Amino acid sequence: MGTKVKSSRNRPHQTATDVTERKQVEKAGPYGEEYFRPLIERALDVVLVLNRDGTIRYESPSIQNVTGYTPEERKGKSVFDLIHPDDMASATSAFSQLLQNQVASAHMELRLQHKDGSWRSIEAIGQNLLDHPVVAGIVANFRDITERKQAEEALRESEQKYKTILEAIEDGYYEVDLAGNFTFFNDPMCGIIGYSKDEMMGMNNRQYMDKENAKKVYQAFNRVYTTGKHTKEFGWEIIRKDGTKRFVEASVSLKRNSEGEPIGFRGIVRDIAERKRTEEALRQSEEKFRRLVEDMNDGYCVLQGARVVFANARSAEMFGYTVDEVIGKTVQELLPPELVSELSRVSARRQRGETVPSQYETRLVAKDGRTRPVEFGTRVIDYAGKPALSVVIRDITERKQAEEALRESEHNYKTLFESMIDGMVVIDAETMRIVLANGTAAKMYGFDSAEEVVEANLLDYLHPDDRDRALTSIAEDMFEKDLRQVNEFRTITKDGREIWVSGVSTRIEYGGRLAGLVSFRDITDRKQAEEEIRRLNEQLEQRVIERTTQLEAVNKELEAFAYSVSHDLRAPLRSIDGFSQVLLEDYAGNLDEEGKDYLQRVRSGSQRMAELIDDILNLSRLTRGEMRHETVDLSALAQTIATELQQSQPGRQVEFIITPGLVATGDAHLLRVALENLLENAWKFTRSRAPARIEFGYAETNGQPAYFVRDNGVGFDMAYADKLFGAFQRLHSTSEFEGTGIGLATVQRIIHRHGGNIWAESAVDQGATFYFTL
Amino acid sequence: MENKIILLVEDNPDDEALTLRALEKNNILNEVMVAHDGVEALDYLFGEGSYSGRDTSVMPELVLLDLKLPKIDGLEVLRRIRADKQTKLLPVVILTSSKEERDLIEGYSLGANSYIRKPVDFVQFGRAVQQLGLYWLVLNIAPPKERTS
Repeated sequence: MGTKVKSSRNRPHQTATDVTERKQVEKAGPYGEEYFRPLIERALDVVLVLNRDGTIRYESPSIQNVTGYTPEERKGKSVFDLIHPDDMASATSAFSQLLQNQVASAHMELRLQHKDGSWRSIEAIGQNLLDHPVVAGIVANFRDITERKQAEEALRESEQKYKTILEAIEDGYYEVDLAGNFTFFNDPMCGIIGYSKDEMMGMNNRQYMDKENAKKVYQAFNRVYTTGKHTKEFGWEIIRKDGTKRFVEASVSLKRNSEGEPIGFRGIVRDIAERKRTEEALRQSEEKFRRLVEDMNDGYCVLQGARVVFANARSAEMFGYTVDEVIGKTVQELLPPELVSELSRVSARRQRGETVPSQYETRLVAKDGRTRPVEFGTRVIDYAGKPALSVVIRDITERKQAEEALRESEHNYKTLFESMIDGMVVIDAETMRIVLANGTAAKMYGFDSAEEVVEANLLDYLHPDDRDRALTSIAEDMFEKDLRQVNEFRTITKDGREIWVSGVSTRIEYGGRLAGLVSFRDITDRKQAEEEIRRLNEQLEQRVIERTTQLEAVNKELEAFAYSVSHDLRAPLRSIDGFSQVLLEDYAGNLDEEGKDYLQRVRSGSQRMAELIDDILNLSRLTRGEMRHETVDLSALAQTIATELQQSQPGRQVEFIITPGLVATGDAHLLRVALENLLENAWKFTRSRAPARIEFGYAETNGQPAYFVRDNGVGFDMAYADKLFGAFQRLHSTSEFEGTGIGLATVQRIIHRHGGNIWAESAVDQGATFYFTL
Repeated sequence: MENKIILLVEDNPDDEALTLRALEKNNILNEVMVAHDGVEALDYLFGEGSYSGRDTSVMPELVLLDLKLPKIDGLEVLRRIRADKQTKLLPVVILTSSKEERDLIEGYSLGANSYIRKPVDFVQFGRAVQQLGLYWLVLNIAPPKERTS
């Protein structure tokens, strides 16, 4: 505690008055010591009389209230004993000033130690009355100001606290006078209004508000003034120095002076722009959710104590009411009893603490009896401050239908799977084990049931020789490449029979895993048949080889024969003819005409035989030579032959009608021989016709397209048609038409070598048509 | 015609007689040397065997060669004629019964100068021989003779 020594000269009258009064009392006579002693001794203030050396001569009894010591205990002791060390210097200084009469009186505050050890603050006044005839000492008068000091300290602390608060809070604090002019405010207040401290001091609220808001403020102030009650005002709009507007809320209290008279207002101002924004966002969010709830396809309602407090249109529709009708109705009113009891059972279970799924399916019956499958989703929420049950009702008709369709589809597939005539198994890609099989598969392998097939893992029943191939195909073709490959492999049945199966694999998903569906059928019979065919083919091939070898041998023989014929058979003929001629030349005189005629006949016979031999050789040559396959322009060929024929006998009138562009594949040389024979025949047998007509073309006959050579010649009797193509078969005598009868045989052989057919149509004198295919 | 020898290689006596007659009838009066098989023909040409010591500087003007011959056939005879430098330029006319393709091809491949098929009709045969003689002995200019020292 700071100690102040105040010069008594500043306030000389105070002490002087006291002393004057006492002197006046003393002088008054009736007021002697007897009169004053009780007064002093009962006074609150303590009076001390000190000797020059500071020892105590007298203390009034109230000293005991201040120091705890009785006057007797302290008499004769130094007054300085109890003074606080910090105050000692000023105390002794003041005392010595008094002694030296430098001051009339010393006024000071200092601390004394109580008997109990605590410190007491005192206010003391000292006066040098050493020269006083009666007192003759230093008189000190002091009072205990400990409590006052403490109160002062508390006040100071309190002020400090409020000041700190005012500076620390974000809200604005204001004080205005009764007219509304600022008398005090904190920094945040400046921030809210947007003016500097200096500008704001003394500013009236009309300066930063429009008329309307200023009126609101006036009314609020007025109300507070008249009622004396604190108020809180919302939504005042202020206009800041920069022109921007802000919403504030403000509290208003009456400010009174020490006499309790209203002198102004004070309160807190808060910028609520942020809150306004938050409120707006909240409002928008609420709006959004309200729309969501209104628009959503699910029914939504809120129950509070079994009564509907909120419902969207969809839920009302589901119940069969309008929204207005639904609100306020109880569950019992809305739903049929069975459903109510079902719901309450669920509710009871939940209340018993059992875990009830938050969603469950049931059938919702509307007022009009319409029933639909629904899924209820419930949860406990806070609604208007009280617990409530939010209920989402989802119409799951379509889902149910889809589920039903799926079930049906699954059933159908299962039936299909089971009724397949093929064995079917599903193989899991990862484990390469059978996970499903049908009855056919079981039957095929001699198992009693499909389950046995799965257990036995049919893949273990592959034939050891085909096992790798089959498994590789399953793993690579199906699982990796997703190919639908048909494979044939051998398997072993439960009882050890070997059966061939043809299997086709398809990659599928089974139970959410990659799997393969393999369907297979027993092709053992077919395989056996194939094996038989293969065996027969082999035999046949062997036989063909043998026959070909034989044929080649025969051909060689034939060739040798033909060679021999062409050399050896002709030589004797030449002798016969030659020497017949010699006879005719050298011995003509010895022969009569008949003899000469006979020799001529010998010659013709041998010459004709030579022709026959040549023809036979030609014919055999056709079957021996190599066949070439090339594109042959038959029309051009026919044209060339026709030209040659016309040149050979320019005198004849023969009209050739040749269809152009007829092309075939075959041996050009052989085809030329064939066409030559046919056209020469036509040429020959139209000798008697004028004009003769010979056609070469392509036409359909008896449903078969064929080339044809047609003439308008003498024709032939169809009765002999079967003789046409035989070698040396003739339908005309040599005298009628020359020839050996080898021509058509040659043609037929050529056509046959080309894989074709030849046939003829004719009638006597009606011309003839030769058809051939290639 | 002086000393223009015709070598007729023919095994069939009938054909030989008829050929000689045809030559004669057509006034081809050259000396005709007849060999009755391939061996004899070669012996004659190269002065070997029964013809050893023959003056081989004298070569026939024309060889009429049948193909089907005993011992060595006509084609082989032709091959040997063409293989020897003495005879390689000799005009050789194949005169035979066959007109088999392989004979024709082989004959020409081995260097036959001509290929005549003997007709059965003797009148025609005579005509063929006449033309043959006219062509090869009169019209054709023979290759120069090899001079031997």
